[in-house]
Amino acid sequence: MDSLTTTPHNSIAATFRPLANRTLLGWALGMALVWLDRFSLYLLPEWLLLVLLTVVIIIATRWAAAARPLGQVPYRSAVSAVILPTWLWLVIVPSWLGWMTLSASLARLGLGVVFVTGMGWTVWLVERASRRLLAKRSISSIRGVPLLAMNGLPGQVTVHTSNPLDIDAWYYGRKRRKLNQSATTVAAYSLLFALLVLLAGFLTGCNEIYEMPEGGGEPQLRQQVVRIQKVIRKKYVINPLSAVLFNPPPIEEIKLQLQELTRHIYQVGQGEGKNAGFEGGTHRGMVRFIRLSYPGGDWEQDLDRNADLNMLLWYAANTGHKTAKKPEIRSVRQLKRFPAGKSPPMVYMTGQGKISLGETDIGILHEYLTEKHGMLFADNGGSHGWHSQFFSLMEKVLPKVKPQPVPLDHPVHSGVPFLPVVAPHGGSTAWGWVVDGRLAVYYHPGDVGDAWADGHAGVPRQVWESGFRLGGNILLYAHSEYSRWLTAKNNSD
Amino acid sequence: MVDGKKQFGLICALAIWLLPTQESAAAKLSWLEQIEVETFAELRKVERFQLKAAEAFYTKGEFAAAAAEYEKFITLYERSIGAPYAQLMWSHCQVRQRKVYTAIRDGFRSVIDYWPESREAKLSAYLIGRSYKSVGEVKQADAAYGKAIAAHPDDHVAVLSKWDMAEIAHIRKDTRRLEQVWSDLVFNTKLNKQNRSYVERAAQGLAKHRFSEADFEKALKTLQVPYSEEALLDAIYQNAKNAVSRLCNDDTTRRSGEQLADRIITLLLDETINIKPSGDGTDEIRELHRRAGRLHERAGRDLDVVKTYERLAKRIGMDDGVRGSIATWHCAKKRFPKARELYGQFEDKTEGLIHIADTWIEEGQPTQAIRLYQRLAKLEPKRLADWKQAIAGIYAESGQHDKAIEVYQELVILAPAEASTWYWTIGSLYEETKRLKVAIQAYRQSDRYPEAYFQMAKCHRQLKEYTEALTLYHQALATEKVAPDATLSIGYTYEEQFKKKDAIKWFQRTCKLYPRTRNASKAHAHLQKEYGISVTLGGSKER
Repeated sequence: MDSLTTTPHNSIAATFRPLANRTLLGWALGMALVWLDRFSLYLLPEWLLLVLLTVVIIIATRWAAAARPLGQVPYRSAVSAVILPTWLWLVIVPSWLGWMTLSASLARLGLGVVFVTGMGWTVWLVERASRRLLAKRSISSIRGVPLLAMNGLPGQVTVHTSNPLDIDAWYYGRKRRKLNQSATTVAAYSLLFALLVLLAGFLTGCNEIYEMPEGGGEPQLRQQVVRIQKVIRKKYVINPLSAVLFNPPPIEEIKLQLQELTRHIYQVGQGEGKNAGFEGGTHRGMVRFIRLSYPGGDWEQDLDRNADLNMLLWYAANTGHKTAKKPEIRSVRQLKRFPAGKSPPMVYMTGQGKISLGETDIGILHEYLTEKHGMLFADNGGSHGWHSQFFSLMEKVLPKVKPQPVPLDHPVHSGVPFLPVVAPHGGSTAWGWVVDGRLAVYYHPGDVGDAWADGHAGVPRQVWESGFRLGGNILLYAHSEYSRWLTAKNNSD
Repeated sequence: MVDGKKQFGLICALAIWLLPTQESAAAKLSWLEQIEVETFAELRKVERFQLKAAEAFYTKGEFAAAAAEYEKFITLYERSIGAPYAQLMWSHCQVRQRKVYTAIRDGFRSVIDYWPESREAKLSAYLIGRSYKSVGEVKQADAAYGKAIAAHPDDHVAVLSKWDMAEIAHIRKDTRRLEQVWSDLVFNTKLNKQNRSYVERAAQGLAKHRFSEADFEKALKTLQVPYSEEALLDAIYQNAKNAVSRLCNDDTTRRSGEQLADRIITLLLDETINIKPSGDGTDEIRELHRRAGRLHERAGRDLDVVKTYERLAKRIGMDDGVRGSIATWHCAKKRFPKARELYGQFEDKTEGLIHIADTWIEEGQPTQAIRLYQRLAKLEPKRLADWKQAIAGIYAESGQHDKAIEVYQELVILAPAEASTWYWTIGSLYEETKRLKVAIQAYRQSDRYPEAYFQMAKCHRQLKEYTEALTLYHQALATEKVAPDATLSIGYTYEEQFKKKDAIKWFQRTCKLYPRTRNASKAHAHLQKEYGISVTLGGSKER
């Protein structure tokens, strides 16, 4: 009887109190560290994050095992705590291995699992509280009205309450109160979950930054010239019949005159810095390859065939710039998180389905291209429809700019004798949108991403090599322009 | 003096000699690409020959070869008076090869630096701006145009530069700047043969803008610069009509829209007073009334439209033209019985009946229309094939396919010259109604090659007769123009047969053999999407 009369709050606290121990503290600290670094700080390497997460999962599993004798509820809550680190672990492992699509799919799936688990707990808590309130009321009514207690009709007592945990709350109506309470709970939970996701996204990502590697150089990739090292050997011709006695030195003492003919006569980048890099860069900065995810089409095309990774590796090998180890994915909304001056100089976008961007996304893209001095590299991944959709998107994003064919002697086509096309999905012309004398959007009509992917889509060597060169040129052009802008901005400040 | 006479004689002789030979080539070259006749006359024979050789490549579209020839000219005859022209044309060749920055840097700028007094230097000053504009660098273009205008304010290049500046303002949606440039073009440009079209277009643009603001006076002042008398009235009507519609469609501006319409209608009708209603005058009066009626239409004044045409009838007498105009207006307002009444009064009975039939179709009563055409067949049996074609068309459109086919079969006998078209239509009707076997027979009798092969193959595929379909596609492969369609269709046919390997082979073949076609794009995307195959074997080098 006493247990029935206790308040639900106290009862829940009592149920979960045994779980509050050092293990919980370890779990919470570990999760906070991983979460902050993964979404905000970017200080730890991915392998270390994985190790940390593995430790957190082990802690959580042991915690769950320890909670088993405490009863079903503490055990289940401890098991639920294992879900979060496991989800993160499952997302990071494929990302570490370069399987970006799988990682993205697992991220979505995990979010669903977390949502369902949370909903289960919410429904359970509300149900439990509701039952307790009902039981409490029935007891008090029996105590207060003896006649009713004798007749056993406690349910007929009229109650006026606004407590949502109480099934008798006035707004649940007279009929189907149980159903109404459940529906309200699910709706409120869904709303809260969505708000929490938004808040988490906002809080953890508002300070994301992009920095270029510091240095300097020429903003153009040059044709590589391989020169052979010349070795001039001293030759001693001795006439064995000579009257003059001649003592040739032993062979190991002959000094070779090596002439160094190969040297780096250029360095790629922008500005006056010492090593290959950018004047507007920083010591910890690096060139990153960011792919734009967007609602609608299959933006993740060729990601599993390492298209972006291959491009990044080619760029690193041909420029000597410090680059990220892996390509990254950001949504249009996430672009907003980068502040002006610390935002990515270029993002890559591809696909063949629909491009469904709302007004907010269009605004973000406009801001990114104009105020943040960014560049969008769009690559038609497989349909004429995508071509039309991209052009109409650009009409909204840059309404005062008319697309024009990009000339073959533009810096982005430097060293590319022709436009490499894997399949002519959007014709055979590369289009550009120029903002303030700078190429802000480059549209490639023929799936150049396929040329970067493993196997290079089986296209001739010259085509895929030019594809890499084109991609490298665009990355370099975007970074050089960004660096120039940053330098000018700093000087004016 | 003697030299001057000699020179003049030489120019005349050259002009006569050049007339038949150069006409076609010159026609292909724009004003910006042509050499001055005087300069050409002064060139030596070898120099002319070299320029003509280069020009031949240029007009054929072989710009790399043309550039090499122009470069050869500059190397060989550096001091020739044709050198700036050769340098200019070399730059044009670079632009045509999409090397715009090279053209600006090494071409147009060189012309200005080395031959600043030449005509080509003037052109280059403008062409630098145009080249920047063509690559979207509008700021640079604006600056270059500004320089060209400052350096050569009275030359035609200044007008061209201003026109392009207006286009830039239009792209940037900068209305104020656009107005400024248009005003400059209209009011500060000397009207000559070369400039006239630009001034006219600028005046039209500016007038449209003024009309849309319901500022009739300013618009009129603008149009008065390049136009006078009849042309002026025509320009007012053409440039104001859209403004009337726009203003009258909005409740807040309706009043000013109506006022604008009234002023123009008054001008139009006043013009008719002095015209005699006979001969060409009748047509003029009719046209002016038609325009007044159209303005009433745009202003949404239903009764006034009819009244205008009635006024016209009083002036020139009622005829089929006037009746037709009123009836068309009734049709537009869905007053079909009234329209039919007027068409019924047509002096040309046949034409009247055709119009009545059209109204029945528009009203959704095809049976009535068919009856009328049947009546026409009796009235005018000479044009039986036309009436039958119309009947068949109505049957087909109203979903009575069998009846339509019957009529088309009659047409095969009535108009055998067009039997191929009738068979093709019969085939498509059978195909639409899923009678594929007979559809194939009909397509076979049509002589439309290779389209008929593709249609027959399509029917065979629907009938699951894949071998026949493949045979037809393979036959179509022989025609170069449709070979990419054939290879792609073969791939789809194998796919329908579940012969995956063959399908993949043919899709890859499409990519490999025709990498520049849209079919390569489709095959590439299909291979990736349906089969997860990334190695599609395509790839091309686009210039």
